[in-house]
Amino acid sequence: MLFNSLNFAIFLPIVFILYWFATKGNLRLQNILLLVASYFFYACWDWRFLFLLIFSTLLDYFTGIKIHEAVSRKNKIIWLWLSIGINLGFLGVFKYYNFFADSFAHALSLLGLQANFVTLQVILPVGISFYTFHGLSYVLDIYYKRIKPERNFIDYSVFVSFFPLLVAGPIERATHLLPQILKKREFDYAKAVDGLRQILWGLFKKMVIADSCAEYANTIFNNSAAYSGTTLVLGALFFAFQIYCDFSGYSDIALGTARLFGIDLLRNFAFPYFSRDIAEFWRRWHISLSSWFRDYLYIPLGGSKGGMWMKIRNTFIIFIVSGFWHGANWTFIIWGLLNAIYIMPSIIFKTNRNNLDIVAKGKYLPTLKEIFSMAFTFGLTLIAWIFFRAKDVQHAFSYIKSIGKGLLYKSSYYETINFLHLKLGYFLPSLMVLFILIEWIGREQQYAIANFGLKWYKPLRWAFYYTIVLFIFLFAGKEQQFIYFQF
Amino acid sequence: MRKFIKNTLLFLLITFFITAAFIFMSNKKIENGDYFRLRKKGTKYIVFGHSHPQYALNDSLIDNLENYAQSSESYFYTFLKIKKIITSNKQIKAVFIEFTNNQVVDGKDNVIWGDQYLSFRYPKYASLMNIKDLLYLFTKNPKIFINSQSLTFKENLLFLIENKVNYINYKNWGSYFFSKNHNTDSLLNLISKNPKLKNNFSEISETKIMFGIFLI
Repeated sequence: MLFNSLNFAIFLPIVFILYWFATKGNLRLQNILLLVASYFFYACWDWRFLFLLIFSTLLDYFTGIKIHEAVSRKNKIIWLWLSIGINLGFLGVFKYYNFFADSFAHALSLLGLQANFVTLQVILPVGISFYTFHGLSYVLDIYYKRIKPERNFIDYSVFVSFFPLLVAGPIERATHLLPQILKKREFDYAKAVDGLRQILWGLFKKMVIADSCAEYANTIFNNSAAYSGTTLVLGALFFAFQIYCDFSGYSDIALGTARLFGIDLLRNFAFPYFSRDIAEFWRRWHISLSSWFRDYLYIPLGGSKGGMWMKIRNTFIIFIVSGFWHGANWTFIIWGLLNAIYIMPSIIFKTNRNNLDIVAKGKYLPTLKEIFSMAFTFGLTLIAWIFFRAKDVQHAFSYIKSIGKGLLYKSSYYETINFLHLKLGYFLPSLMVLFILIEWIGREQQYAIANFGLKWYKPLRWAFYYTIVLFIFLFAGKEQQFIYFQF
Repeated sequence: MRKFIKNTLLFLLITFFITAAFIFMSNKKIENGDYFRLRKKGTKYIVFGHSHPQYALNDSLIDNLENYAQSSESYFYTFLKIKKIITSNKQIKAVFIEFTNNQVVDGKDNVIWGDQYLSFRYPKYASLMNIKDLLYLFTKNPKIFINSQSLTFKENLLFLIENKVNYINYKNWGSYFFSKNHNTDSLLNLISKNPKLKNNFSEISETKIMFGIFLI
């Protein structure tokens, strides 16, 4: 059930009405309803994987209690590793087995040995990387004594399976979400309206910008050999917008939906393309995952306490693991590695915390230095996105090589102008510029239109909403699956 | 809570009525407008059907003939198309309608309301449909029918805003297609080896034959 589908448009109001009216504010009933709705939502993808989700939930529920109850440290560690082992084991089988089998066979073939591993013909359970990380954060927080285990299975299951975040995050923390699930929730008009606004903005980002860019990004990436350098840059640019609007649009819809039920989820994006350096970019892009790796991998590995070399080592580890988390392909690993390399100068020269605030805060325009920094950072991420989008490493390298070559030839620029003129037209570029402007204006808010028109006269405010609806109606691209569903 | 539900419902109802009213009015404007002239002036004969005539008849080689066949088009849509074209182009002397087994056999009604077919064809012919046609499609595939409304809205609005003059070209109602593939020999070969394929006829589809009769 996609967020931008008719099914979800029917599902959401039904759950909303039942949640606030049929349960009569009874917290127990509300949580049971949320759990049933979440399981139904998940079963719509593939009901068989519901058992996997329930098993994963049960596993972390029991191991959480066992870790808490274990008297000796040794027993705590055993229970912790049992949970980590089984969780990652499932992830390994469903997501990474074929990758390891193929890579190992390839490595052996380089040594002149032949090996034929059995590859599994399994589909990847949607959201497995997300709910596995939910569960892991829960048991790790119990182990580190940040929280106590939740004894009520229903409440715990809602934490793992709450439908807005189930399939593509944000990756929640028990310390943040569980208290909200346990607390009586009152309907808050302002919060609910804000939720709807965020959903509307998310739909615009996904259906208008991401889906439209996807068509051209796919055309260029899938036939990259047929295009020259500057058109390939255009392809990478489209993909950069596609992935940002696709994933942040999804997150907006998830956050907005959760707010309708009185629940605040972790913010996942904070205008990452306005970052002035890569460290800032990673504080603003997929925040819930970056902070997950920081808290549960980087810091336990020693973080930045053990001197420069340890800091460098740990940074490389989290970026490579983060790349690998995205998918079982070398392209993602190189994408992670590249980002680690990008961030190195700021770690070595200790400038990684230079830009903590949003750019040009309280001002209309950035300075020239800020414009240059943003453009440079965006350029670096653009190169990294090529690896993320390419079908394999060879494809990515040949893509980059063609860009390098093409930039030298005048004919390449003519081809790109022709592409823009004949295939693309001027509408999508104009829409993208409009989108960047709105994001720039709203960059100090939680999402771009969070405060936009709030104090306007109601008909005017509604006219603004209708304009967004009209834009969705008129300019929605061909429906595409959310990119992060595959992770 | 009441205020929230009231405002949300009001917003949705206004959206619904504006959309429905625009689609209805734009469909009417298009239907009653002079937008359905044939591509060539002297055309007296026109061809309809699905992929077979579409690929078979090169209308640039035959005088006074135009090919409006389109892949996978069922009689349901052909019927709407023919009605409009012959009433808008009085010079037409004869209409050729393809008749093949798969235009009438059962089990392929999916080409009328199946997901991809409905979302592809509905916006092309929505302006020609009466309430009965609309209800018929809605009952068969409500989800895609509703989804197709936004595309109809978009295409109608752009057609009117851009002040286009020919709806047939704008919506691509069909034309001759050149194909490099020639599968006839291999198919004949296959049939000669598998006689069962020769008699691979299904039941007749009532829906399809009904629209076939309408056409005649």
